[in-house]
Amino acid sequence: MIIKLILSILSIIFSLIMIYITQINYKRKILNKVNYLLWISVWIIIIAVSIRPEFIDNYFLTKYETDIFYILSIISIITLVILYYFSLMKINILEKKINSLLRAESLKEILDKLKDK
Amino acid sequence: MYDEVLVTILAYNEEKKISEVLIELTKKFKNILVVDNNSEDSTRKKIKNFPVFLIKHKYNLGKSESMKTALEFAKIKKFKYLAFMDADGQHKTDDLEKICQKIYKNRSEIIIGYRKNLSLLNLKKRIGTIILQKVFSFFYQKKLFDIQSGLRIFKLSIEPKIYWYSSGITHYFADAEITCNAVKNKCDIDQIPIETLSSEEYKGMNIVQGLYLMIMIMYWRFIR
Repeated sequence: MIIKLILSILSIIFSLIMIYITQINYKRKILNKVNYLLWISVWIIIIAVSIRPEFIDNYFLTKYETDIFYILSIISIITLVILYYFSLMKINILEKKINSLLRAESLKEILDKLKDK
Repeated sequence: MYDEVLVTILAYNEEKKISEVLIELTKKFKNILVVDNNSEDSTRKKIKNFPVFLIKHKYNLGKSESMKTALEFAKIKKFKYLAFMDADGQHKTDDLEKICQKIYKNRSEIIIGYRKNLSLLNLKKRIGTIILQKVFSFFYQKKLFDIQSGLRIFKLSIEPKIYWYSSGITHYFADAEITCNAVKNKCDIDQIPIETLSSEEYKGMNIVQGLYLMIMIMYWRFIR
């Protein structure tokens, strides 16, 4: 019981911090309005579930006769892997673009110098 | 003076050795390119005293990307051969000359210099080099002594066969990838012994990077 309570408090604190960070990123225009609303909803849902975990537990147990933690752990792992994959792809594409740009710029510089000579 | 060869030196904070290396190189080679990876010391200042091409990257893009810059420059200036040499003075100009002479004389498309005396390396690096050599021989069915050697020359005409995709500033896989691609795509490859510097002066990989390279050797062989 105490462990469940501690976990709930931790996840609420974590979600509140994330709401704050999301807010900052929105103000800095790193996130657009759709992203902002989406992430805020995610953190609010996490807070709601943390406050009343038995609500979701009861729903799954009565409707699907499955343990919520079992479902959540599978969904979490899949989500993490998918998010990691897309982030990695995005980073690789960006890295490639930046490298090409910087190399092209350096080459242009020396070729212009050689032309002037 | 090897007019058809572009000798490339990839430099990053090499102020201690770069002048020494360039003094020796300019005696024997006409076309020298230094790719500076945004050095924070006086490397660039020192390079400017020599009659060499200097390309400056605005950020440190790592060895692989610098090699690509050199490749693009060599293609634009229509050189026939592209040679690479380390900027830290671990390679001798005489050895570079040897590999140039060899590629001029015979039909090889790529020549790699290998460290003939591994006993000068410390135990960890010696074991690492031997394991990599064995793994490479097993998967590629070819005996090459130093797949990662930074002293090498190749014909620009084989570029599509050996083009490398390694990038990043934390590891130096481009040399190994070029070797693997060359063997996989049946390029005419040769190797000659070169002098080895003591391990204190040699910047190498750590164990994790060595293991990662081993996985990449398999990846380049079977997946790419």
